[in-house]
Amino acid sequence: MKNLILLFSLVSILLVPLQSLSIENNNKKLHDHISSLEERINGAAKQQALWRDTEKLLLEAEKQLAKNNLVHSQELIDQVEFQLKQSLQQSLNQHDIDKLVPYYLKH
Amino acid sequence: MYKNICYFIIAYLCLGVSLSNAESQLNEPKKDLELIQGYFKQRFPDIAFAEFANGVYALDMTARENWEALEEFPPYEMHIDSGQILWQEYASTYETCFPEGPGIKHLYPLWNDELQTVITIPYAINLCRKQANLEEYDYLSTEMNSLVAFIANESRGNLINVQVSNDSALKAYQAGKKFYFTRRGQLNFACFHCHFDNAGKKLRTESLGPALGQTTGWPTYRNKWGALGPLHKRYIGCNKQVRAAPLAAQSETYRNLEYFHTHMNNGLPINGPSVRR
Repeated sequence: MKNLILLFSLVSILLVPLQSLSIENNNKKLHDHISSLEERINGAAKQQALWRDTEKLLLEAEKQLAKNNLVHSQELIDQVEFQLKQSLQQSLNQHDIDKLVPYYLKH
Repeated sequence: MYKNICYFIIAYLCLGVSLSNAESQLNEPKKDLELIQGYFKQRFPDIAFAEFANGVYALDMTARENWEALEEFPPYEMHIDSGQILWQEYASTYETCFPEGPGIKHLYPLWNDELQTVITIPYAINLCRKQANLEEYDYLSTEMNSLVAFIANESRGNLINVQVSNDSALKAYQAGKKFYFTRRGQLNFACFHCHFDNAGKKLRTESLGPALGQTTGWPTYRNKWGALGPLHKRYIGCNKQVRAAPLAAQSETYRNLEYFHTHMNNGLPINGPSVRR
């Protein structure tokens, strides 16, 4: 029994640094993800395809990450990913001016 | 000899085809103008053409009554006076840049071959100030808007006459046209969705103004802003309303948009500055 308690304490002591290591890892992953999203946002802005709130969402994700709210930060990052994908798709589908102009203004 | 004649005929035909192609391309703005003005004339047959210069107040009679009451003591009047003072302060500089005087708003935006860009009135003012080593105005500042208000007031009644004179100008015009008809933002709206198809209809409590006549009255004192503001501030607002990221005032894209947007109003009188809700 005594041995069991000792073993349990030993495992718990070992787990604590492992847990903090995994938090740090996740934190770094999210940081890297945010940096790559920043670049993609700049690209979308150059193409004039950016939506109004995408950048704000990313800023909020960064704030939440700084507070160690990893789940909330991840949720916001997912939103940014989704918005970026949609906005670039919207822009890609509209290259041909002839298809954009309504029928009553076609020459 | 026979071979030479053949070459000459082929060269002549090629030149003819390319010239007529270039000419037909430059006809695009003229055809657009006919189609756009024709569309609104057909859609609102009871409205006189010049009335479109009054924007939504040509269509919504209740709003018109309020607007006419506001125009009795126009809130932009003091800006015209301060704009005149600003003009007179550097009159010799401005007269060098604008030799025809301040009554020139109906000719802008125009294409500048040397700079290869569209020049709007605020952009021209800042170019002029830069040349004279004066500090450039912020495009949304009261000083800039007051100066443009004075210029617009001096141009009142002049008919808009924006020209697309060569291929480079045409490219800028086409870029503006593309922006106008491109869906953007989370709401997936293009400018034309509100101001062509739905012009005259209600959006909440407001009537949507027709595209025709939208550029005649700027700068405008908007009650919503509680201040005089330029057309590009409205573009920023429109982009935000469809939940798209707005661009900077007087950015190349917005200047191209203004070029296309104003060209469709050729023949309408300048009636700025104005007051709007």
